[in-house]
Amino acid sequence: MAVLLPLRFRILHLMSTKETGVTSAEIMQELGSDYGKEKQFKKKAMEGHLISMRALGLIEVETVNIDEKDELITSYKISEFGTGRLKYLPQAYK
Amino acid sequence: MNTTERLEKQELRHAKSGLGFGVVSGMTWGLSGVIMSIAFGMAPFTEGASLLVAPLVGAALHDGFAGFWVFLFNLFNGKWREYGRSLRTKPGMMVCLAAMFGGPIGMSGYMLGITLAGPSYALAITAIYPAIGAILSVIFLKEKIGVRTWIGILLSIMGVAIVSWVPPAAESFPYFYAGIALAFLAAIGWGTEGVISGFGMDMVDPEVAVGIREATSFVVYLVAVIPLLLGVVGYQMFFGAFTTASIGVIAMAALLGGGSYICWYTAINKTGASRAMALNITYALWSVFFSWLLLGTQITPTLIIGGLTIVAGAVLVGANPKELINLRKV
Repeated sequence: MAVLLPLRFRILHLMSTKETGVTSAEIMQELGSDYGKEKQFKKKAMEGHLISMRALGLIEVETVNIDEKDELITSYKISEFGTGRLKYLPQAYK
Repeated sequence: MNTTERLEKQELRHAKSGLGFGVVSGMTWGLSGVIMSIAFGMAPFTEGASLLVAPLVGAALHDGFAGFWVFLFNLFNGKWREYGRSLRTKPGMMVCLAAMFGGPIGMSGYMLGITLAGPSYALAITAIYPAIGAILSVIFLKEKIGVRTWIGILLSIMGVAIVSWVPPAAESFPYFYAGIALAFLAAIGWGTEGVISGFGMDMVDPEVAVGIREATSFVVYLVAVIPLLLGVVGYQMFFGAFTTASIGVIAMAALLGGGSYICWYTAINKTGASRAMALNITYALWSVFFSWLLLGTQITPTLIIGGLTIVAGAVLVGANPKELINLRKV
């Protein structure tokens, strides 16, 4: 995988490889080695991507909890509609 | 409050901010247009060899500068690497396609419509673009549009028609019907742009999408529109502009234009293409306001009635944000 995917596309791709939902913190951890040095790779931005992608129907909420700091922890999984969009993945990611 | 309610609240806040971006996109586009009209009153744009040269060269310079400003913005926020990555994917190429519809077709049609048919008619006709876009977004993006939203879109369009419908000016427009046709072409171009870019932005960051959009449009102007439609005189005016004060004015208009585009694409992504478009056409109202503020244009009763109609339409479009939580029938 020489060339990185656009971050948003990569989030969708990551979810397609998981059986269960992932939280923004888990996504940050998994993709940190590839995108971690970039200024766009921030918790708030990641959450914004996820909320937009959910509203657009690409991903779904699996569970929602509150952590010890009283912050909302949402776990998302790819939707059927989002899975359909994976056909636009470059060959190297299929 | 339980967790589901908190999540809903978070999602609502996100959706409502999208509505805000839609309104700001209209405001900045209106101001950008007023500043562009100041530039068009300066050399070299007043010395055009034909009616076509200044509007098209102006549009090219506008999109070029806007692309530059947006790139600086993306450089600052750490998204510049996303340009290359996005362009290697199909959704990224869709954004380029959206750029063709929005720039060389939409913007050219708009600028030429203004020149050939006068700003009032051109503005009124291009403002139907949200209706075209809404129909396309129902078909291609599966967007959900309720009756109230449709009424809101139609009211906004009516309001724009009222705002810009002044009796024909004393000086005649010999190419009036060509101008009307071009304004229609612009409406089709912009409606299509919103839907195609909305599709691309499922997987491309909106701010990166705008950067690609402006840059693509600029390149197409430079290598296709100017040489094919204008020839040498086009390039003469293009480069001539850099030796005059007008270039600074265009750079400023493009700063607002680029910002407007970021707001518009962000709104499309957060609240759906149809709503973002309906809020974007408030630019007709804003341009009246800024013309009054900066150029001393008089406010007439039709402006006030039309303005209130636009606002009423915009309020209907965003009245029930709960609908915004699920934007599509998927």
